Amino acid sequence: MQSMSVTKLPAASPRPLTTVNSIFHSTIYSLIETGLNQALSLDPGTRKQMESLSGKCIRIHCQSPRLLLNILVCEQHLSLSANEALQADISIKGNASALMKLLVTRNTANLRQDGIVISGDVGLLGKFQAILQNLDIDWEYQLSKFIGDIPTQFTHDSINAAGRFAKKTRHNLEEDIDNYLHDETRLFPSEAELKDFYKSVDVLRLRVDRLDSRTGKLQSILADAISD
Amino acid sequence: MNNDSPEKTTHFGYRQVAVEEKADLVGEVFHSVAKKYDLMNDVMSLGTHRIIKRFTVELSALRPGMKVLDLAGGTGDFSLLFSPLVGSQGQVVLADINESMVRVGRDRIIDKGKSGNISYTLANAEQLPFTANTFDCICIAYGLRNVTDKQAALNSMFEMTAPGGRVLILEFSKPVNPLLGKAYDVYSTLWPKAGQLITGDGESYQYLVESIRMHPDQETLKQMMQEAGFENCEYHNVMGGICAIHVGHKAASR
Repeated sequence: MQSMSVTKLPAASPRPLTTVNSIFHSTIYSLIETGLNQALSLDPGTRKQMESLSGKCIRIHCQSPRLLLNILVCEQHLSLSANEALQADISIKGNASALMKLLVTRNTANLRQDGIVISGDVGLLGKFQAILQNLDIDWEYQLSKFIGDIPTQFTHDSINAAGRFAKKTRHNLEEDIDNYLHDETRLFPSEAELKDFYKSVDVLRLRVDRLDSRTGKLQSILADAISD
Repeated sequence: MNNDSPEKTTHFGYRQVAVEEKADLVGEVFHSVAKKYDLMNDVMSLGTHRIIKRFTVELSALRPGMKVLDLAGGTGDFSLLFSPLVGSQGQVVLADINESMVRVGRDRIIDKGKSGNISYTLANAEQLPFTANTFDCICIAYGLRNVTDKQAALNSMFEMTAPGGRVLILEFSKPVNPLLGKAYDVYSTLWPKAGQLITGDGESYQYLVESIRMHPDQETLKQMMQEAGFENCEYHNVMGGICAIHVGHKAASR
Protein backbone atom coordinates (compact mmCIF):
# COMPACT_ATOMS: atom_id res chain seq x y z
CA MET A 1 0.00 0.00 0.00
CA GLN A 2 2.80 2.43 0.89
CA SER A 3 4.30 2.18 -2.57
CA MET A 4 1.25 3.67 -4.26
CA SER A 5 1.04 7.33 -5.04
CA VAL A 6 -2.03 9.31 -4.08
CA THR A 7 -2.76 11.71 -6.88
CA LYS A 8 -5.63 14.03 -7.55
CA LEU A 9 -7.76 12.73 -10.38
CA PRO A 10 -7.87 14.94 -13.47
CA ALA A 11 -11.16 16.58 -14.34
CA ALA A 12 -13.34 14.56 -16.66
CA SER A 13 -13.19 15.48 -20.31
CA PRO A 14 -15.75 14.77 -23.04
CA ARG A 15 -14.86 11.49 -24.68
CA PRO A 16 -15.25 10.29 -28.23
CA LEU A 17 -18.63 8.66 -28.48
CA THR A 18 -18.99 4.96 -29.11
CA THR A 19 -22.68 4.66 -28.50
CA VAL A 20 -23.35 1.09 -29.62
CA ASN A 21 -20.70 -0.09 -27.20
CA SER A 22 -22.01 2.10 -24.44
CA ILE A 23 -25.58 0.88 -24.85
CA PHE A 24 -24.33 -2.70 -24.71
CA HIS A 25 -22.39 -1.98 -21.51
CA SER A 26 -25.31 -0.09 -20.11
CA THR A 27 -27.56 -3.14 -20.58
CA ILE A 28 -25.07 -5.53 -18.98
CA TYR A 29 -24.40 -3.15 -16.10
CA SER A 30 -28.08 -2.71 -15.52
CA LEU A 31 -28.45 -6.49 -15.08
CA ILE A 32 -25.44 -6.73 -12.75
CA GLU A 33 -26.64 -3.71 -10.80
CA THR A 34 -30.05 -5.30 -10.25
CA GLY A 35 -28.41 -8.52 -9.04
CA LEU A 36 -26.01 -6.68 -6.71
CA ASN A 37 -28.72 -4.53 -5.19
CA GLN A 38 -30.94 -7.55 -4.73
CA ALA A 39 -28.11 -9.31 -2.90
CA LEU A 40 -27.56 -6.19 -0.78
CA SER A 41 -31.25 -5.98 0.05
CA LEU A 42 -30.88 -9.41 1.71
CA ASP A 43 -28.16 -8.16 4.04
CA PRO A 44 -29.35 -5.11 5.99
CA GLY A 45 -26.11 -4.97 8.03
CA THR A 46 -23.91 -4.47 4.99
CA ARG A 47 -26.37 -2.00 3.52
CA LYS A 48 -26.17 0.09 6.66
CA GLN A 49 -22.36 -0.02 6.57
CA MET A 50 -22.39 1.07 2.95
CA GLU A 51 -24.16 4.28 3.84
CA SER A 52 -20.90 5.59 5.26
CA LEU A 53 -19.48 5.53 1.71
CA SER A 54 -22.49 7.25 0.14
CA GLY A 55 -21.51 9.55 -2.72
CA LYS A 56 -18.16 7.83 -3.28
CA CYS A 57 -17.36 6.59 -6.74
CA ILE A 58 -14.88 3.84 -7.59
CA ARG A 59 -13.74 3.61 -11.19
CA ILE A 60 -12.44 0.32 -12.54
CA HIS A 61 -10.52 0.62 -15.75
CA CYS A 62 -9.93 -2.81 -17.22
CA GLN A 63 -7.29 -2.68 -19.95
CA SER A 64 -7.75 -6.14 -21.45
CA PRO A 65 -10.53 -6.45 -22.37
CA ARG A 66 -11.10 -2.69 -22.49
CA LEU A 67 -13.87 -1.85 -20.07
CA LEU A 68 -14.83 1.05 -17.87
CA LEU A 69 -16.96 0.58 -14.80
CA ASN A 70 -17.98 3.20 -12.26
CA ILE A 71 -19.39 1.93 -9.00
CA LEU A 72 -21.23 4.76 -7.28
CA VAL A 73 -22.51 4.27 -3.75
CA CYS A 74 -25.89 5.95 -3.39
CA GLU A 75 -26.81 5.56 0.27
CA GLN A 76 -27.86 1.90 0.57
CA HIS A 77 -27.72 1.08 -3.08
CA LEU A 78 -25.05 0.71 -5.78
CA SER A 79 -25.19 2.26 -9.21
CA LEU A 80 -23.01 1.01 -12.07
CA SER A 81 -22.21 3.05 -15.14
CA ALA A 82 -19.66 3.48 -17.91
CA ASN A 83 -19.72 7.27 -18.05
CA GLU A 84 -16.28 8.83 -17.96
CA ALA A 85 -17.75 12.20 -17.07
CA LEU A 86 -18.60 10.95 -13.60
CA GLN A 87 -15.82 12.14 -11.29
CA ALA A 88 -14.27 9.17 -9.47
CA ASP A 89 -12.75 9.24 -5.97
CA ILE A 90 -10.48 6.32 -6.75
CA SER A 91 -9.44 4.81 -10.05
CA ILE A 92 -8.09 1.28 -10.40
CA LYS A 93 -6.38 0.27 -13.62
CA GLY A 94 -5.27 -3.22 -14.58
CA ASN A 95 -6.09 -6.29 -16.61
CA ALA A 96 -9.07 -8.53 -15.94
CA SER A 97 -7.30 -11.31 -14.03
CA ALA A 98 -5.46 -8.92 -11.70
CA LEU A 99 -8.66 -6.99 -11.03
CA MET A 100 -10.56 -10.19 -10.25
CA LYS A 101 -7.80 -11.17 -7.84
CA LEU A 102 -8.13 -7.81 -6.15
CA LEU A 103 -11.86 -8.31 -5.82
CA VAL A 104 -11.73 -11.73 -4.19
CA THR A 105 -8.69 -11.39 -1.93
CA ARG A 106 -7.93 -8.82 0.70
CA ASN A 107 -4.24 -9.05 0.00
CA THR A 108 -3.14 -5.76 -1.49
CA ALA A 109 0.61 -6.34 -1.04
CA ASN A 110 1.29 -7.50 -4.60
CA LEU A 111 -0.68 -4.86 -6.45
CA ARG A 112 2.31 -3.44 -8.26
CA GLN A 113 3.54 -6.88 -9.26
CA ASP A 114 0.12 -7.62 -10.75
CA GLY A 115 0.33 -4.45 -12.84
CA ILE A 116 -2.44 -2.63 -11.01
CA VAL A 117 -2.25 1.15 -10.84
CA ILE A 118 -4.33 2.96 -8.26
CA SER A 119 -4.87 6.69 -8.08
CA GLY A 120 -7.06 8.73 -5.78
CA ASP A 121 -8.28 7.89 -2.30
CA VAL A 122 -6.58 4.52 -1.68
CA GLY A 123 -8.17 4.04 1.74
CA LEU A 124 -11.55 3.87 0.06
CA LEU A 125 -10.58 0.63 -1.67
CA GLY A 126 -9.93 -1.15 1.61
CA LYS A 127 -13.23 0.03 3.08
CA PHE A 128 -15.14 -1.04 0.00
CA GLN A 129 -13.45 -4.45 -0.13
CA ALA A 130 -14.17 -5.04 3.55
CA ILE A 131 -17.85 -4.29 3.03
CA LEU A 132 -18.18 -6.50 -0.05
CA GLN A 133 -16.33 -9.40 1.56
CA ASN A 134 -18.44 -9.24 4.69
CA LEU A 135 -21.56 -9.59 2.60
CA ASP A 136 -23.35 -12.25 4.60
CA ILE A 137 -26.63 -13.19 3.06
CA ASP A 138 -28.89 -15.28 5.21
CA TRP A 139 -30.18 -17.44 2.36
CA GLU A 140 -32.04 -19.75 4.71
CA TYR A 141 -34.09 -16.95 6.21
CA GLN A 142 -34.87 -15.50 2.76
CA LEU A 143 -35.82 -18.91 1.39
CA SER A 144 -38.00 -19.69 4.40
CA LYS A 145 -40.03 -16.56 3.70
CA PHE A 146 -41.07 -18.07 0.38
CA ILE A 147 -41.27 -21.80 1.00
CA GLY A 148 -41.66 -22.14 4.78
CA ASP A 149 -39.40 -23.45 7.56
CA ILE A 150 -39.58 -27.22 7.03
CA PRO A 151 -38.88 -27.22 3.27
CA THR A 152 -36.03 -24.75 3.93
CA GLN A 153 -34.52 -27.12 6.53
CA PHE A 154 -34.92 -29.99 4.07
CA THR A 155 -33.25 -27.96 1.29
CA HIS A 156 -30.46 -26.93 3.65
CA ASP A 157 -29.85 -30.58 4.71
CA SER A 158 -29.92 -31.76 1.09
CA ILE A 159 -27.40 -29.12 0.02
CA ASN A 160 -25.12 -30.02 2.95
CA ALA A 161 -25.39 -33.75 2.18
CA ALA A 162 -24.61 -33.07 -1.47
CA GLY A 163 -21.61 -30.98 -0.37
CA ARG A 164 -20.32 -33.76 1.90
CA PHE A 165 -20.79 -36.36 -0.86
CA ALA A 166 -18.90 -34.16 -3.36
CA LYS A 167 -16.04 -33.67 -0.90
CA LYS A 168 -15.78 -37.40 -0.13
CA THR A 169 -15.94 -38.37 -3.81
CA ARG A 170 -13.17 -35.92 -4.64
CA HIS A 171 -10.97 -37.27 -1.87
CA ASN A 172 -11.53 -40.87 -3.01
CA LEU A 173 -10.82 -40.00 -6.59
CA GLU A 174 -7.57 -38.25 -5.69
CA GLU A 175 -6.47 -41.29 -3.68
CA ASP A 176 -7.34 -43.71 -6.50
CA ILE A 177 -5.44 -41.71 -9.09
CA ASP A 178 -2.47 -41.50 -6.75
CA ASN A 179 -2.45 -45.29 -6.18
CA TYR A 180 -2.85 -46.02 -9.86
CA LEU A 181 0.09 -43.83 -10.95
CA HIS A 182 2.43 -45.01 -8.20
CA ASP A 183 1.59 -48.67 -7.69
CA GLU A 184 -0.15 -49.97 -10.79
CA THR A 185 1.63 -48.24 -13.66
CA ARG A 186 4.77 -47.38 -11.64
CA LEU A 187 5.05 -44.15 -13.65
CA PHE A 188 6.15 -42.31 -10.51
CA PRO A 189 8.33 -43.58 -7.64
CA SER A 190 6.75 -44.11 -4.24
CA GLU A 191 7.46 -41.78 -1.33
CA ALA A 192 9.76 -44.30 0.40
CA GLU A 193 11.82 -44.80 -2.78
CA LEU A 194 12.12 -41.07 -3.21
CA LYS A 195 13.30 -40.63 0.40
CA ASP A 196 15.97 -43.35 -0.11
CA PHE A 197 17.11 -41.67 -3.30
CA TYR A 198 17.38 -38.24 -1.68
CA LYS A 199 19.28 -39.77 1.26
CA SER A 200 21.85 -41.39 -1.02
CA VAL A 201 22.24 -38.12 -2.90
CA ASP A 202 22.98 -36.40 0.43
CA VAL A 203 25.55 -39.07 1.39
CA LEU A 204 27.21 -38.76 -2.00
CA ARG A 205 27.38 -34.97 -1.67
CA LEU A 206 29.03 -35.23 1.73
CA ARG A 207 31.60 -37.71 0.41
CA VAL A 208 32.39 -35.54 -2.60
CA ASP A 209 32.86 -32.57 -0.27
CA ARG A 210 35.25 -34.56 1.92
CA LEU A 211 37.20 -35.75 -1.12
CA ASP A 212 37.41 -32.18 -2.39
CA SER A 213 38.87 -30.87 0.87
CA ARG A 214 41.30 -33.81 1.05
CA THR A 215 42.64 -33.13 -2.49
CA GLY A 216 42.95 -29.45 -1.57
CA LYS A 217 45.00 -30.35 1.50
CA LEU A 218 47.27 -32.74 -0.52
CA GLN A 219 47.79 -30.08 -3.19
CA SER A 220 48.94 -27.53 -0.62
CA ILE A 221 51.37 -30.09 0.97
CA LEU A 222 52.75 -30.86 -2.51
CA ALA A 223 53.15 -27.17 -3.31
CA ASP A 224 55.05 -26.60 -0.03
CA ALA A 225 57.36 -29.60 -0.77
CA ILE A 226 58.17 -28.20 -4.30
CA SER A 227 58.94 -24.74 -2.97
CA ASP A 228 61.31 -26.17 -0.31
CA MET B 1 -40.57 26.70 -36.18
CA ASN B 2 -41.73 29.23 -38.67
CA ASN B 3 -41.58 32.33 -36.54
CA ASP B 4 -40.52 34.40 -39.53
CA SER B 5 -43.89 33.99 -41.29
CA PRO B 6 -46.17 37.05 -40.96
CA GLU B 7 -49.13 35.15 -39.34
CA LYS B 8 -46.88 33.70 -36.62
CA THR B 9 -47.69 30.08 -37.20
CA THR B 10 -45.91 26.98 -36.12
CA HIS B 11 -46.11 23.34 -37.10
CA PHE B 12 -48.38 20.89 -35.35
CA GLY B 13 -47.28 17.70 -37.04
CA TYR B 14 -47.61 18.54 -40.74
CA ARG B 15 -50.27 21.19 -40.14
CA GLN B 16 -49.54 24.88 -39.68
CA VAL B 17 -51.34 26.32 -36.67
CA ALA B 18 -51.24 29.64 -34.83
CA VAL B 19 -48.45 29.78 -32.26
CA GLU B 20 -50.89 30.23 -29.34
CA GLU B 21 -52.84 27.15 -30.37
CA LYS B 22 -50.02 24.62 -30.41
CA ALA B 23 -49.71 24.15 -26.63
CA ASP B 24 -53.44 23.40 -26.35
CA LEU B 25 -53.38 20.99 -29.27
CA VAL B 26 -50.37 19.13 -27.85
CA GLY B 27 -52.13 19.18 -24.49
CA GLU B 28 -55.15 17.41 -25.99
CA VAL B 29 -52.88 14.74 -27.48
CA PHE B 30 -51.31 13.95 -24.13
CA HIS B 31 -54.57 14.15 -22.17
CA SER B 32 -55.81 11.51 -24.54
CA VAL B 33 -52.83 9.15 -24.40
CA ALA B 34 -51.63 9.63 -20.79
CA LYS B 35 -53.09 6.45 -19.33
CA LYS B 36 -51.74 4.09 -21.98
CA TYR B 37 -48.58 6.10 -22.63
CA ASP B 38 -46.12 3.52 -21.26
CA LEU B 39 -47.77 0.63 -23.05
CA MET B 40 -47.66 2.54 -26.33
CA ASN B 41 -43.96 3.33 -25.76
CA ASP B 42 -43.29 -0.38 -25.48
CA VAL B 43 -45.18 -1.04 -28.70
CA MET B 44 -43.55 1.78 -30.67
CA SER B 45 -39.98 1.15 -29.53
CA LEU B 46 -40.26 -2.66 -29.30
CA GLY B 47 -39.24 -2.38 -25.64
CA THR B 48 -35.91 -0.69 -26.36
CA HIS B 49 -36.94 2.57 -24.67
CA ARG B 50 -36.00 1.09 -21.28
CA ILE B 51 -32.36 0.55 -22.32
CA ILE B 52 -32.22 3.98 -23.93
CA LYS B 53 -33.58 5.57 -20.76
CA ARG B 54 -31.07 3.72 -18.61
CA PHE B 55 -28.26 4.88 -20.89
CA THR B 56 -29.50 8.47 -20.70
CA VAL B 57 -29.53 8.30 -16.91
CA GLU B 58 -25.92 7.06 -16.99
CA LEU B 59 -24.99 10.16 -18.96
CA SER B 60 -26.48 12.36 -16.24
CA ALA B 61 -23.41 11.68 -14.02
CA LEU B 62 -25.59 12.32 -10.97
CA ARG B 63 -24.51 11.52 -7.44
CA PRO B 64 -26.13 11.67 -4.02
CA GLY B 65 -27.22 15.13 -2.92
CA MET B 66 -27.68 16.60 -6.40
CA LYS B 67 -30.78 18.29 -7.80
CA VAL B 68 -32.29 17.13 -11.05
CA LEU B 69 -35.18 18.40 -13.12
CA ASP B 70 -37.12 15.77 -15.04
CA LEU B 71 -38.66 18.11 -17.58
CA ALA B 72 -41.63 16.85 -19.58
CA GLY B 73 -41.27 14.02 -17.08
CA GLY B 74 -44.71 12.65 -17.91
CA THR B 75 -45.29 9.25 -16.44
CA GLY B 76 -42.25 9.46 -14.19
CA ASP B 77 -39.94 6.85 -15.73
CA PHE B 78 -36.92 9.11 -15.40
CA SER B 79 -37.81 10.42 -11.97
CA LEU B 80 -37.94 6.83 -10.73
CA LEU B 81 -34.45 6.20 -12.11
CA PHE B 82 -33.04 9.50 -10.80
CA SER B 83 -34.51 9.16 -7.32
CA PRO B 84 -32.14 6.47 -5.91
CA LEU B 85 -29.14 8.18 -7.54
CA VAL B 86 -29.57 11.51 -5.76
CA GLY B 87 -30.66 9.86 -2.51
CA SER B 88 -32.50 11.39 0.42
CA GLN B 89 -30.29 14.51 0.42
CA GLY B 90 -30.94 15.18 -3.25
CA GLN B 91 -34.06 16.26 -5.06
CA VAL B 92 -35.91 15.22 -8.18
CA VAL B 93 -38.48 17.60 -9.64
CA LEU B 94 -40.90 16.09 -12.11
CA ALA B 95 -42.24 18.88 -14.30
CA ASP B 96 -44.69 18.60 -17.16
CA ILE B 97 -46.95 21.06 -18.88
CA ASN B 98 -49.73 18.51 -19.04
CA GLU B 99 -51.84 17.86 -15.96
CA SER B 100 -52.97 14.38 -17.01
CA MET B 101 -49.41 13.24 -17.51
CA VAL B 102 -48.30 14.60 -14.11
CA ARG B 103 -51.25 12.88 -12.45
CA VAL B 104 -50.38 9.53 -14.04
CA GLY B 105 -46.70 9.99 -13.14
CA ARG B 106 -47.40 11.05 -9.58
CA ASP B 107 -49.81 8.15 -8.96
CA ARG B 108 -47.34 5.72 -10.39
CA ILE B 109 -44.46 6.99 -8.25
CA ILE B 110 -46.58 7.02 -5.09
CA ASP B 111 -47.82 3.48 -5.86
CA LYS B 112 -44.22 2.32 -6.06
CA GLY B 113 -43.52 3.94 -2.69
CA LYS B 114 -40.68 6.03 -4.09
CA SER B 115 -42.02 9.49 -3.36
CA GLY B 116 -39.43 10.53 -0.73
CA ASN B 117 -37.28 12.92 -2.76
CA ILE B 118 -39.56 13.55 -5.75
CA SER B 119 -41.75 16.63 -6.10
CA TYR B 120 -44.15 17.50 -8.89
CA THR B 121 -44.98 20.65 -10.73
CA LEU B 122 -46.92 21.83 -13.74
CA ALA B 123 -44.49 23.92 -15.74
CA ASN B 124 -44.03 25.32 -19.20
CA ALA B 125 -40.55 24.46 -20.49
CA GLU B 126 -40.32 27.85 -22.21
CA GLN B 127 -40.62 29.73 -18.90
CA LEU B 128 -39.42 27.48 -16.13
CA PRO B 129 -40.68 28.65 -12.72
CA PHE B 130 -37.51 27.99 -10.72
CA THR B 131 -34.63 30.01 -9.32
CA ALA B 132 -31.79 30.40 -11.80
CA ASN B 133 -28.73 28.12 -11.43
CA THR B 134 -30.65 25.50 -9.44
CA PHE B 135 -30.30 22.12 -11.10
CA ASP B 136 -27.18 19.98 -11.47
CA CYS B 137 -28.91 18.21 -14.31
CA ILE B 138 -31.94 18.91 -16.45
CA CYS B 139 -33.29 16.05 -18.51
CA ILE B 140 -35.96 16.39 -21.15
CA ALA B 141 -36.89 13.12 -22.81
CA TYR B 142 -39.25 12.94 -25.77
CA GLY B 143 -40.55 16.34 -24.77
CA LEU B 144 -38.69 19.06 -26.66
CA ARG B 145 -40.40 18.01 -29.90
CA ASN B 146 -43.75 19.14 -28.50
CA VAL B 147 -42.60 22.53 -27.24
CA THR B 148 -43.79 25.46 -29.36
CA ASP B 149 -40.65 27.59 -29.10
CA LYS B 150 -37.77 25.17 -28.70
CA GLN B 151 -35.09 27.86 -28.52
CA ALA B 152 -36.95 29.59 -25.67
CA ALA B 153 -37.12 26.26 -23.85
CA LEU B 154 -33.37 25.69 -24.30
CA ASN B 155 -32.65 29.24 -23.08
CA SER B 156 -34.81 28.70 -20.03
CA MET B 157 -33.17 25.34 -19.32
CA PHE B 158 -29.74 26.98 -19.58
CA GLU B 159 -30.77 29.60 -17.04
CA MET B 160 -31.98 26.97 -14.53
CA THR B 161 -28.89 24.76 -14.89
CA ALA B 162 -26.36 25.22 -12.10
CA PRO B 163 -22.84 26.20 -13.16
CA GLY B 164 -20.97 22.97 -13.88
CA GLY B 165 -24.28 21.22 -14.51
CA ARG B 166 -25.53 19.56 -17.66
CA VAL B 167 -28.59 19.16 -19.77
CA LEU B 168 -29.68 15.93 -21.44
CA ILE B 169 -32.06 15.91 -24.36
CA LEU B 170 -33.39 12.55 -25.48
CA GLU B 171 -35.47 12.88 -28.62
CA PHE B 172 -36.36 11.16 -31.83
CA SER B 173 -33.96 12.21 -34.54
CA LYS B 174 -32.87 11.50 -38.08
CA PRO B 175 -31.62 7.99 -38.91
CA VAL B 176 -28.06 8.10 -40.27
CA ASN B 177 -28.51 5.26 -42.73
CA PRO B 178 -31.10 6.08 -45.44
CA LEU B 179 -32.15 2.42 -45.67
CA LEU B 180 -32.83 2.32 -41.93
CA GLY B 181 -34.66 5.62 -42.36
CA LYS B 182 -37.00 4.06 -44.94
CA ALA B 183 -37.65 0.98 -42.79
CA TYR B 184 -38.35 3.21 -39.80
CA ASP B 185 -40.72 5.38 -41.84
CA VAL B 186 -42.69 2.30 -42.84
CA TYR B 187 -42.74 1.02 -39.28
CA SER B 188 -43.90 4.34 -37.86
CA THR B 189 -46.88 4.44 -40.22
CA LEU B 190 -48.20 1.53 -38.13
CA TRP B 191 -48.23 3.56 -34.91
CA PRO B 192 -51.50 5.42 -35.54
CA LYS B 193 -53.14 2.04 -36.18
CA ALA B 194 -51.61 0.57 -33.01
CA GLY B 195 -52.66 3.73 -31.16
CA GLN B 196 -56.22 3.31 -32.42
CA LEU B 197 -56.27 -0.27 -31.17
CA ILE B 198 -54.69 0.35 -27.75
CA THR B 199 -55.84 3.83 -26.75
CA GLY B 200 -58.73 4.27 -29.16
CA ASP B 201 -57.08 7.44 -30.42
CA GLY B 202 -55.22 7.05 -33.70
CA GLU B 203 -55.08 10.78 -34.41
CA SER B 204 -52.81 11.55 -31.47
CA TYR B 205 -50.30 9.02 -32.74
CA GLN B 206 -50.56 10.45 -36.22
CA TYR B 207 -49.44 13.70 -34.62
CA LEU B 208 -46.52 11.93 -32.86
CA VAL B 209 -45.31 10.44 -36.15
CA GLU B 210 -45.54 13.79 -37.92
CA SER B 211 -43.93 15.72 -35.08
CA ILE B 212 -40.95 13.32 -35.11
CA ARG B 213 -40.35 14.08 -38.78
CA MET B 214 -40.61 17.83 -38.21
CA HIS B 215 -38.11 17.78 -35.32
CA PRO B 216 -34.68 19.34 -36.01
CA ASP B 217 -31.93 16.86 -36.81
CA GLN B 218 -28.89 16.13 -34.64
CA GLU B 219 -26.63 18.94 -35.87
CA THR B 220 -29.39 21.57 -35.88
CA LEU B 221 -30.35 20.77 -32.29
CA LYS B 222 -26.70 20.86 -31.27
CA GLN B 223 -26.39 24.35 -32.77
CA MET B 224 -29.53 25.46 -30.96
CA MET B 225 -28.04 24.24 -27.68
CA GLN B 226 -24.85 26.17 -28.36
CA GLU B 227 -26.93 29.23 -29.11
CA ALA B 228 -28.62 28.88 -25.72
CA GLY B 229 -25.16 28.97 -24.09
CA PHE B 230 -24.35 25.32 -23.53
CA GLU B 231 -20.76 24.25 -24.03
CA ASN B 232 -19.07 20.99 -24.99
CA CYS B 233 -22.28 19.93 -26.72
CA GLU B 234 -22.22 16.42 -28.10
CA TYR B 235 -24.74 13.84 -29.15
CA HIS B 236 -25.05 10.06 -29.08
CA ASN B 237 -26.98 8.46 -31.90
CA VAL B 238 -29.06 5.60 -30.58
CA MET B 239 -30.30 2.84 -32.88
CA GLY B 240 -28.66 4.41 -35.90
CA GLY B 241 -30.04 7.87 -35.20
CA ILE B 242 -33.71 6.98 -34.70
CA CYS B 243 -33.14 8.59 -31.33
CA ALA B 244 -30.37 10.90 -30.24
CA ILE B 245 -29.19 11.96 -26.81
CA HIS B 246 -27.72 15.46 -26.75
CA VAL B 247 -25.57 16.48 -23.82
CA GLY B 248 -24.63 20.09 -23.09
CA HIS B 249 -22.70 21.61 -20.21
CA LYS B 250 -22.90 24.94 -18.44
CA ALA B 251 -19.46 26.31 -17.64
CA ALA B 252 -18.54 26.09 -13.97
CA SER B 253 -17.12 29.61 -13.82
CA ARG B 254 -20.29 31.46 -14.74
